[in-house]
Amino acid sequence: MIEANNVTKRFSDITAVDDVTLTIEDSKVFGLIGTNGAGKSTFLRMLSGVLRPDEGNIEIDGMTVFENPECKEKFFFISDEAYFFLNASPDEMARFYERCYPATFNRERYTKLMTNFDLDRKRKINTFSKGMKKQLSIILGLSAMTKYLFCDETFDGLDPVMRQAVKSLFASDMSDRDFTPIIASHNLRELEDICDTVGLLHKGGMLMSEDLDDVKGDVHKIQVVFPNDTDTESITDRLRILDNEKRGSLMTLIVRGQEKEIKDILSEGSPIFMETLPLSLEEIFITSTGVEGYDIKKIIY
Amino acid sequence: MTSKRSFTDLLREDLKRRMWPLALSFIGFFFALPVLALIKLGDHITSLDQGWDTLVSLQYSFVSFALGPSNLFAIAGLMIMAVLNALQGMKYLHSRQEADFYGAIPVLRTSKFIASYINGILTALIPYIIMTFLAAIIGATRGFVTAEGLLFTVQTILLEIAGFLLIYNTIVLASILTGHTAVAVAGGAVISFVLLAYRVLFEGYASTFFVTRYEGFSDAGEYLSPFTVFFKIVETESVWRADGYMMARHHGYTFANVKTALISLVISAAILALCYWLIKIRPAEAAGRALAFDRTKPFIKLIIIVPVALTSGLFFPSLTDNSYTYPWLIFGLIVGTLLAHAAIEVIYDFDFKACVKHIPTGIAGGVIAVAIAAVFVFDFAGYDTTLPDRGSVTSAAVYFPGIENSMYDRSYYDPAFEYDGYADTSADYNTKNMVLTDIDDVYTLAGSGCDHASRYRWHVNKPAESDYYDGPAYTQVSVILRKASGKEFKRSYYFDKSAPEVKEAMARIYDTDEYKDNTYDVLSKDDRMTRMPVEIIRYESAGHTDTASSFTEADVEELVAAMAKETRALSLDYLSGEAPIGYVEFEFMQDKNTDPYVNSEVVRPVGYVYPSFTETIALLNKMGINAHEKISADEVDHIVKIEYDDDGNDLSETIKDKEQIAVLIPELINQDYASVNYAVLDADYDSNYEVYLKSTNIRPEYYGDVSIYCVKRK
Repeated sequence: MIEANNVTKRFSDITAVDDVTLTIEDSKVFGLIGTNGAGKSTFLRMLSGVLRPDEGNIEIDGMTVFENPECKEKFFFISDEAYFFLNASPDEMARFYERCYPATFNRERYTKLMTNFDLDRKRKINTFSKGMKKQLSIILGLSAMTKYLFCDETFDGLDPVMRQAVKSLFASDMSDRDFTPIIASHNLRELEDICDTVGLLHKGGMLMSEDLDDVKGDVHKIQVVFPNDTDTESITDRLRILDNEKRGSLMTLIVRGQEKEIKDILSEGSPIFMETLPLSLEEIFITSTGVEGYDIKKIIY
Repeated sequence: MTSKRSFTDLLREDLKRRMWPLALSFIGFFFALPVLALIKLGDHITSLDQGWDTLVSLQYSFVSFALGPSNLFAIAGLMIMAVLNALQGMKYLHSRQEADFYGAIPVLRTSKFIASYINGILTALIPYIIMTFLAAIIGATRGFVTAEGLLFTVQTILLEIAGFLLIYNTIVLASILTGHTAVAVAGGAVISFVLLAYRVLFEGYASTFFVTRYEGFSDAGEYLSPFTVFFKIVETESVWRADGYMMARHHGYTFANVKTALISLVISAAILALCYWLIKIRPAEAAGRALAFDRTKPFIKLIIIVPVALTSGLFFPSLTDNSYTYPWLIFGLIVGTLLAHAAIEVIYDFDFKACVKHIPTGIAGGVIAVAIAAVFVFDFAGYDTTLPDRGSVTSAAVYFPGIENSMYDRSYYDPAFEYDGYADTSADYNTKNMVLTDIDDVYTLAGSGCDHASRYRWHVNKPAESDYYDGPAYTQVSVILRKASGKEFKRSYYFDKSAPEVKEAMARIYDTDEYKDNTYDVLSKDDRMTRMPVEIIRYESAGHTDTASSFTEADVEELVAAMAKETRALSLDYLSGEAPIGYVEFEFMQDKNTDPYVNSEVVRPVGYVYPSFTETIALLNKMGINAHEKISADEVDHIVKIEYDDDGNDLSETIKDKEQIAVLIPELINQDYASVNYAVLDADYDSNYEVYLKSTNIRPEYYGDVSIYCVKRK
C-alpha cells in the first residue's frame, strides 16, 4: 500500500503539489488524473523517490521511499520522457535493469514481450520512434516484475492497439501476481476502462480520490421527457442534480443518489419517456467536481 | 545495487557511458607522451651523434621534456581531461530525464555519484599512466631513461595526479552547485579563478592608486587557482642555458613540491567531502536550472558582481589618456555593477526579463565594489602615508634605482638567486641580503617619501607628472623595513633629495659597507666574481670593447681587489660630479660547481670604472687592455655643441678654440654612462655635445672621425 500524508512540494514560488493526502490500495489500478501542470508528474516523482517532499511523507509498504533502495526495489518508474543510455540497445538497457532489480527482473519475459511487440532487441534505441520508446519502457517496466509500476503519461503516444495490449498486460499481471499500476494521465478517456480508483489533481491539490464503482453507483445519467404541463421544477428540486441539460422537451439529468429513488421521483411527473444512460468517467468528473466549485470543463477540454 | 558487488556493477555500467572520454584520453595522451617522446628521441639521438650534448644532459632533458614537468602537452591534457570528465560525469545532474532515471532506480544517489566520480578519474589517469610508461620505454630503448629517470617519472605522475584531482574536484563541485552544464562551465571558471581575479584586481588597484606601491606582483596568486597550483606542484628549479634551452636543473622535486601536492590533496579531499554532502541534499528538480541551491544565489551573485564592477572601474579610466580619471572610475563601477547584476539574474532565470529582479543584492554588490575601490582611492588604510612603528623594525634595506643603474638584471647572472615571484628583480636582488641597522636614515628617506605621496595623491591630473618625478628634486628609493615578527614592509618612495637632512641621510646610507656590499657586484661577499675560472676579461668604453685573455688567476684577483677598493672609496658627492668611463666584464666557460647543464660561455658584469679608478685602469692596461682615464683637452680635435631651435633650425656650434675646449672638456660627461647614477649626477641631460678626438695613437680605437656624445655637467 502506498500512503502519502500531507505531501507538499514547491518549486521556488510555485506550489506544485499542495498538501496531498492519498492512499493507494494494493492490487488496484490507480489513475492519477489532471491537466498539464496539475502536479501529476511531480507527485509521481515524489512517489518514485526522485523528488523529496518539502512537507509530509510518502511510504510504500511502510517504508520511506526517498533514498531507500530497498523500497525502490518495489517499484519501477516509467517517466513521461524515459531516459535511455546514449547509443544503447534494448538489450543493454535490459542488462542494466537486470542489475538494478536482480531479485525480480525477468529476462525471459523481457525477451518474450520484445518479440510480441515486434521490437528489435539489438537496434539502437535512439533510432526508435516515440511510440516504440514508450513500448520499450513499458516492456522494461513489466519485465522488472516490481510490485508497483508508476506510469507517467505512458499511454500518450501509443496507438489504440498497443494501448489495448498494454492494458491487457496490466490486467493479466494483476491477476497473476501482486501488482499495482499507478497511471498518471491528462486524458480521462484513456483510463476509463482500466482504473479501479481515480485521483483527480488540480493545481497541486487532490480534488477527489474515489473508487470508480462507488462513484458510478452513486451518480446516474437519466434522459426524461415530461408532458408540457408538468411542473418540472417541483420535481427536479427534490433531486441532487449535478447537471441539467434541456433540449426542447428532452431533459438530460445527471443526478446523485440511488437509481430507484431517482426514478420514483421522476415518475411522479408522469414522464412520456425516461431512460438511464451509461456515464462516462469524464461526465462523472465534470459533474462531481463541478458542484464543488471547480470548473472542470475548462480542465478537461 | 547497494552491495559491494553491485557497486562494482554500477562502476562498470557507468564506465560503459564513458567510452568517448576514455578514447579521447588515450588518443590525447598518446600524442602528448609516446609521440612526443619519439620526436624528442630523434632530436636527442642527433644531438648525441653530433656531439652537441652529453648523454647525461640529454637524459635529464628527455625525462623532463617528454615525461616530466616540462611536458606541457601532458599537463594540458590532464587539465583538459579533469574538466571534461568532471562535466561529463556529473552531466546526469543537469538532465531532468537522467535525474528521473537515476533517482527512481534502487541505487543510493551517493553511490551513483561516487561511481561517476571514480570513473572520471580512472578514464583520465589510466591512459595517462599507461602512455607515460610507454614513453618511458621509448626513451629507455636508447638509454635516455635510467632508473633515476624512471623514479623521477613516477614522482611526476604522483604529483600531477594531485594537480589533476584538485582541478577535477573543483569542476565536480561546480557541476553539483549548478543545474545546467553550460552554467557548470561558467561556475567552474568562477570557482577556479575568482580568488585569482580578486588578487589581480587588488594588485591592479594598488598599482593604480597607491603612490608608493612596491613594484611588481607577489607570487601568492599562484596558489589561488587550481590551474596555477598544478604548475606549482610540478615546478622545479630550472636554469637557462646559454643556448636558451631550459630544463630541470636539479632533476628532482623538493619538499616544496610534495608539500604543495599534499596540501592540494587535503583541499581535494575537503572538496570531495563537501560534494558528497551536497549530493545528499541536492534537489533533483535542480536539473535544468542555473543553480542547484537557491540559497547560494545571492552569495554567488555578490562574489561575481564585485570583481566585475572593480574590473570595469579600472577599464574605463584605462581608455583615457589619464588613467586616474575619477569620473570614469565611478562610471565603470556603476556600469560593471549593472551589467553583472543583469547578466547574473538573466542566467539565473534563463529569462531576459529577469534582469530587473533582486535589485537589492545588485546594489549590495555595487556598494561593496565602491567601498573596496574607495579603500584604494582614498588610501583609508594609510598605505602611502604611514610607516611601521619604529620600535617594531629591526633592520632595513634600500635600493636606489638611480644609483649604479646597471644595464643588466644582476640577479639574472646569479643562478643561486631565488626569484621572488614577479617582483622587481634588481631591487629584490640588491636588498635581499642588505641589513641596514641604522634605521633612522631610512626612516628619514621614507618620511620624505610619505610627505611626497600624500601630496602627490591629489596631483594625479597634472600633466607634468613625469617632470615631477624625474626632476632634480625628487628621486626614487625602494625601502624594505623588516619587523621583528618576520614581516616585511615594502614601499617605493619618491623623496626630496634636495632637502639637506634627506641628502645627508642618503649619503650616510651610501657610505655604509652594507649598502655598497649589496649594490656593487665587485664588493659582493660571495665568490660570484671568482668562483669560475675567468677566460676573458672585457672592458667596454664608449661603445668600444677591448679584451684580454692572457692573465693568471692572481691577475684576476688583483684586478677584483683593486676595483673593490676603489669602488668602496666612492662617495655620493663624487658621483654627483663624475660618471663612469667604462665597465669590466668577465667571461667564464664552465661553472666550478660542475653543473652538468651549464657548459656554454657565461658573461657576468664586474662593475663600472670611474675616473678615480687609477689602480684598476693601470691593471687593465697591464693586461693589454686599452683603458684610459678621462679624455683630456689635448686629445680633442674639436667639439660640436648640438642645438636646434623650436622650429627645428640647426643652431649647432663647432668649438675649435683650445682654451674653450680646455674649459669645456672637464665639464662634459660621456652620454653612455650619464644615466648610471642619474639620481645623483648633476648633469644637464638636455645638453648635447659631440667630442671629436685627434688622430693620435693614444686611443687607436677612435681613429677616424669617431666621436663621443656627451652631456654637460650643471
